[in-house]
Order: sequence, then structure tokens, then C-alpha cells
Amino acid sequence: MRQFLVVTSTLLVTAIRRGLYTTLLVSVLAPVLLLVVLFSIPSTSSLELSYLDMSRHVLVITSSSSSGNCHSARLVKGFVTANTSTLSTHVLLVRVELSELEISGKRYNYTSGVVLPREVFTSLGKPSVVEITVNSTTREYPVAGSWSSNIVLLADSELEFNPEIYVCTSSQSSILVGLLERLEGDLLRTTGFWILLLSLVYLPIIYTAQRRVVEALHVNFRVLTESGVDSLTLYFSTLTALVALYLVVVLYVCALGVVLVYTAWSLLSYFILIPPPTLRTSVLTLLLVEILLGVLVTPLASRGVSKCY
Amino acid sequence: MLLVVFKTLLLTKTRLLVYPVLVLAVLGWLSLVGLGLVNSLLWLYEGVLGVSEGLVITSRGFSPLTALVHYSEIESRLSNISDIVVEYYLVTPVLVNGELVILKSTNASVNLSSNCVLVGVELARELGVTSGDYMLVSSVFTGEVYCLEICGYTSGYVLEAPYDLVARIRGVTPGYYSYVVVRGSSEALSRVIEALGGRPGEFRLAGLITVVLTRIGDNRTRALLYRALTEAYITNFGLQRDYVLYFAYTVIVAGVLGSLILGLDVTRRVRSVLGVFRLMGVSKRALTVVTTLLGLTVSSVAYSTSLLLYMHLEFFTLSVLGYTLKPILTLEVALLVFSALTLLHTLGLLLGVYREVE
Repeated sequence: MRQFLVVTSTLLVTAIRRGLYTTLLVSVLAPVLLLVVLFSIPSTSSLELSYLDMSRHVLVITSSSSSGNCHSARLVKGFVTANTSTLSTHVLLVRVELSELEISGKRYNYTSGVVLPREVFTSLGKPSVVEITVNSTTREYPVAGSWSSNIVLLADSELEFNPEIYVCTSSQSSILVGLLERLEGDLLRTTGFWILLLSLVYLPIIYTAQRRVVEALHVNFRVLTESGVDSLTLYFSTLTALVALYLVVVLYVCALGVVLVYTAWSLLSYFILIPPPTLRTSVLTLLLVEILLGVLVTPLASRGVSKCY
Repeated sequence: MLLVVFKTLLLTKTRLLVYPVLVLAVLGWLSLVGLGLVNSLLWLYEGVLGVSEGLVITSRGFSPLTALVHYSEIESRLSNISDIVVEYYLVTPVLVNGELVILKSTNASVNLSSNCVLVGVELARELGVTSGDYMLVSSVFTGEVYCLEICGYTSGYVLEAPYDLVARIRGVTPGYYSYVVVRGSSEALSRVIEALGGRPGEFRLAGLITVVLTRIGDNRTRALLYRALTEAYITNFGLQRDYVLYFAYTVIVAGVLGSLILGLDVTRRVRSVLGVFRLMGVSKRALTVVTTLLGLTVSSVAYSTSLLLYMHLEFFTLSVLGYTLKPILTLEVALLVFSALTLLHTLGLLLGVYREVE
């Protein structure tokens, strides 16, 4: 064990003193540095959006109930009758009290009621009560108001129908944030895949760099063998020294990447208004994969060390 | 003599050269795809809105989905200019089954009844809707739900409806548009830019030019000219198109840095052959020339393979607003990747000759 440690440290110190880490540094520079830099793009959560007025709620139609703010609904064809006039229209049935919905920025204090399209409301003579006929059932409802939509909204918690869709309420800000987060996710997913492929392409290059280190140490291998170090110890010592050197180089490049990103941001923020970079934990996962891939080629690069000379 | 050395190297060490060619080919392909995707992001709105040439007039905003210009403002400036075709478009984001989709006003030549909508073929396939169906869309601006009848199909991942319906869903009074496309000869477009208060000499009047009108007084506007529609909007986020491109170029050049090591490795593997030539009296300068030629040959073969991979593999796409972005390859990008690969690989070879041959 002692011999193993002595041989490993000898090889490591020799490699460092002779500057053999330079080749390794160049070989890991691209995949590691690009991983850190590309995964540090500002997060959408760091964007200043508070100045935008997005307090209004949007009625979102979905095929599944995704949150607690969703209510069963169904779109049907129906008739609206008032003041002896009858109009055929689409009716959106929503199983909820009308007061629970925010429509066009307003809340109506009704347990059940209808919101009519503006043209329908005007052509029926602005009635306060209408008859709604749906599936040959006619019922009277109070008119809560009108909107610029082209359908009648009927909200009643006691409506009986087989729900086909859901009406959910979302704020404009949550829709925008959702969109930005999805965009960020898509960008990072593609970048991650690209980086992973780049790391795979760099495997032969990392192997070549490690092999160069091994071949540059051939004089040391001869001296160590002549000093009585057996080939197995020499092989494992070389392997350990290479892995250690590789890890140090990867961590150095990683730290360099972080420093570069923050320095660039500090300098740029003097000239333009840019959000700060975001270091993501997913970098660690990808970094571990890169380290693992690099370590996997080390046994190949260390083979035949006792025959190097 | 040079030719003999080059031929001998190629014939005796062909197997050794296959390895760098393969690695460089994949590296080149990844670089082309990376830069191509950045390029397609920088042309996002052009692709989504289907604008590829002419003069696009819009107003200051974060995207064409929020910007608005009034018909009278444009018409008053362009009414005296002949030989131009002016098209007005209004676009707005809508939610269809919880997903954000772009609703665009149809061209004036398309006649649709009031509640009709044309669905992009790809979008229709994804939503599982056909002509004659009804679809419910939510307006992000008014918060209301609208029922639209599908009357036909259009290209892309968008919805197209008559202007009045789009304006109603967008929540604006008639007369407002998101952007205006002006087409005509270079001279006519030059007069349009002048009429808008810009200097036509700033840009070559070919391809696409974007003019952003910013109000600076009661009836006065300032015209800012950009080379691309997306550029005009990302500027408001503090992102300059050129800086984004320079950053992407740096990333790609850094990405092919490994070709330097491959070059060094190749020289080390052929050093015995080079050593024999040195003993035979071939000068170091001649070997340098041969090595440069070898670097160019390896890089060219690898790069041609990269281009083939790029054309036939569609691994990388980016989805934005449901719109699938594919990498866009420009001549500038193609030349940059080739130069970076060749330079770094040949540099590695030359460093190897310098260090190993003597």
C-alpha cells in the first residue's frame, strides 16, 4: 500500500512539474467550460416583470382538470330567449357559482346566471332575465352582464351534464411565467443534450490526452520498474494518478467557468441592463456524467505502462 | 518531392487518419447544429410569422404579439408613395387547450366568414381537429373565451382568422395592427424609409428590414432600423443580436478546441515516417508544408462528412410556442466552423512537427 502511494504521488508530482496537465486541460476545456457557461444563462424567475400589469384573470379551457381552480364544463348549442326574441348560439355550461369566476376583470355577485355576447345582449333589448334552452330543457337565468366573446357563458353549480372540458382561471402573470419557464426548460433540455453529445465526442480526445501523459512518463516507468515496483502496482498507480490529475483539471476548469461567467456579467452590467447568471444544480449532474465518462477511458489510457519503455 | 512525402504519408498511415476524421466530423456536425440553432432563435419571429422579405413596420415592444401600430399612422406616411404593396397584420397569443398558440389575421385576399378560423396543418394534427369542428380559444389580453369554427387549413403552427375577429380577441378597436409588411422595389422601399423618418442608406435594401416606430411627440415618431424582426424585439431585453452571435461563435470555437489535440496526436503517430524523410534529406520546411496539406485534407474530409450529417440527421430541434425550430445554416456559419476546425487541427499538426520531428 505504501509503495502504491509513493509511486502514485511520484507520478502525480512528475506530471505536474513537467506541465503534462496542459494537454488534459485543453481536452476537458470545451465540454466542462461550455457546460458551466451555457447552464448559467439567467433564469426567467430573475426577470423583472412586476412593472407589467398582468393582474387580470384568464378563463382557460383544458381537457383535464390541472389545478384546484378548474370547473367542469361543456360547450353546447342552445337558444336564448328574451322579450319574445329567440337567438341560436353556443352556450358554455360551467358547473360553478358565477360569483367564483372573474370575467373580463369583473366579478358578478350571482350564484347562477349568464353572461351574454355584447351583440346578443343589445339585440335582445338588454334584458335582465333570459330563458336558456339547452337539450330541450328551458330555464330562466338572470343576466349578469355582457362580454365581447361570441358565446353565452352559463354558470350554475347545479347544472347536470357530462363534462367534456374544464374551465380554469389563471392570472395573466402565471401564464407568462409558465411560458417563460417552458421556454427556459426547452432551451436547457436541448443544451443539455448537445453538451452530452459533445462530451461523448470528446471521449476519444480525452483518451488521447491521457495517453500522451502516460507516454510522456515512460522514463519514470522504467526507473520505477528498475527500482523494484511490480507491473500491477505501476498500472494502478498510473491509473490513480491519471484520475486524480483529470479530476483536478475538471474542477479547475469548472471553477474557471464560474469565475468567467460572473466576471463577464459584472463587466457587462456596467453597460447594459442584464439579469444575473443563475447557477443550476443540473450542472452537477452533467458534470458528474462527464467525470464518469472521463474516468471510464483512464484504464484504457493506462494500459501497457510496464511496456512503455 | 513534397508530393512524394504527402502521398507516402497518406498511403502508409491511412488507418491512423480515419480516427481524427471521424472525431472531427462529429465535432463539426455538433458545431454546425449549435450555431444553426442560435441562428434560428435569432430568426424566430420571421419563421413564426412567415415574413422573409420586404420592409416590416412595427412599434416598440417585447414581441410582435404585444406591439401595436395604427393604420392611420402608417397610411398617412405611405399614401403618396407609388409602386408598393402594403399588407397589415394583427397577431395575438391565444390559449388552446392550455397551450399558447399564435392567432394571426388573414391576408386581405382571403375571405372568411366572421367566426371562421384556418388551422395550421401541424397544429390541427396535434390538436386532433378537422374542418367543420369548433374550437374554444382563450384571449390572453381580454381573458375571455371564444368559439371558432374551423373552416380550413393553413401552413405552419398558427391559427388565421378575419381581422375583425382577431381584433376582438386581442381586445383592440379596429385600425390597430401588430406589424405592416411593405413590398416593392429598392427605390420604393427607400422612399418608404424616408417617409417614416429613417435613413435608407443605413441598410442594404434587400431581404428583410425592420422599422420600429417610436412615438416622440404628439404627431412625431422616430424610426429605428434593424436587420431582422426578432432583433428589433430582443433589443428591449438588453440583448444585442451581434453580441449573441459573437457569444455563440466563441462557444463554437471553444467547442472544437479538441481538434488541436487530435492534430498533435497524428504527428506523434507519424513521427517515425517523418523522421525517415528527415534522414533522407527532406527539409523541416518541406515537412511543415506537407503537414499543413495533410491537416487541410483531413479537415476537409471531416467537414464534408459533418455537412452530410447535418443535412441528413435531424436530432436537434427546439420547440418555441409549439413552433419547431430547426437549425439554420448560413454561409457565414459554415465558413466559421470549417475555419475553426482546420486552423486548430493544422495548428496541432504543426506544433507536433515542431516538437516531435527533430
